[in-house]
Amino acid sequence: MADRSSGFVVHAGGCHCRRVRFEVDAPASITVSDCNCSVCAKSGYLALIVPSARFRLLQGEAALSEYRFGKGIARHLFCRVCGIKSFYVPRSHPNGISVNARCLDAGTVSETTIRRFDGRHWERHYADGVDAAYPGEES
Amino acid sequence: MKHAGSCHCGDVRFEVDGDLKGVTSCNCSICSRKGALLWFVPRDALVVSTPDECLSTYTFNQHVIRHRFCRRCGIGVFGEGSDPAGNRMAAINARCLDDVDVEALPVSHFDGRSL
Repeated sequence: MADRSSGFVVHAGGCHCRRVRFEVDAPASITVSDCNCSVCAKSGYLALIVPSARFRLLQGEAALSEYRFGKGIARHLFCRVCGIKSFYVPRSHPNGISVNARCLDAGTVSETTIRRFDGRHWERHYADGVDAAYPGEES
Repeated sequence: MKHAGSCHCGDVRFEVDGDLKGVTSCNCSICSRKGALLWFVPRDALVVSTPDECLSTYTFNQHVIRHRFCRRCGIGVFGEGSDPAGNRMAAINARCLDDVDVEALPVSHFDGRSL
């Protein structure tokens, strides 16, 4: 579904067992972060980070399990039934949502640009605090 | 050679005895969501040193593969199943191995989506 005024399309996605389902408004051509931090590396996460107003959890809140570590700021969320981490609340963008691009349904993403992010050295990137910009949408 | 591995929180720890020459990237519905890079070994080569209760099990479709993930941190550490000859196998998520640079390993692609 295209929204010509914003340039965004609605991407649907979710976990594997389909208990968790969401919609996210983002360009058809998305830029995602491939982060090498301890948790992203193990979960194979590809982050599409958007302001939370562009994310709608349609179902599955009760199926989500939360995991925190380190500073305990990021809310890592996964489906307790199938284990899939389809989105979470990132430390870098506390007013945003990080959607796992691997969990988007086929059909609406026209192109995926992957940027490496050196999350293993997170503090170097965010020495002045959290990020106001959203990857791929810098003006 | 023995390779140690774990989930993120450390509730699940394991060791795999084998020769890691490469990994398999599968495009099926669940592997693609995990970005899993799989190392197939006989199940007996995998020794889990933490209590089994720390692992959740997810099965779907024909329910022949047990997808195991950590209850606390959610990391998918390995799957358990059988090969066509009936041998018990494990598919280790090489992303969870300590001291292994998965990006340096050759990747073979498996079209699991077409099964």
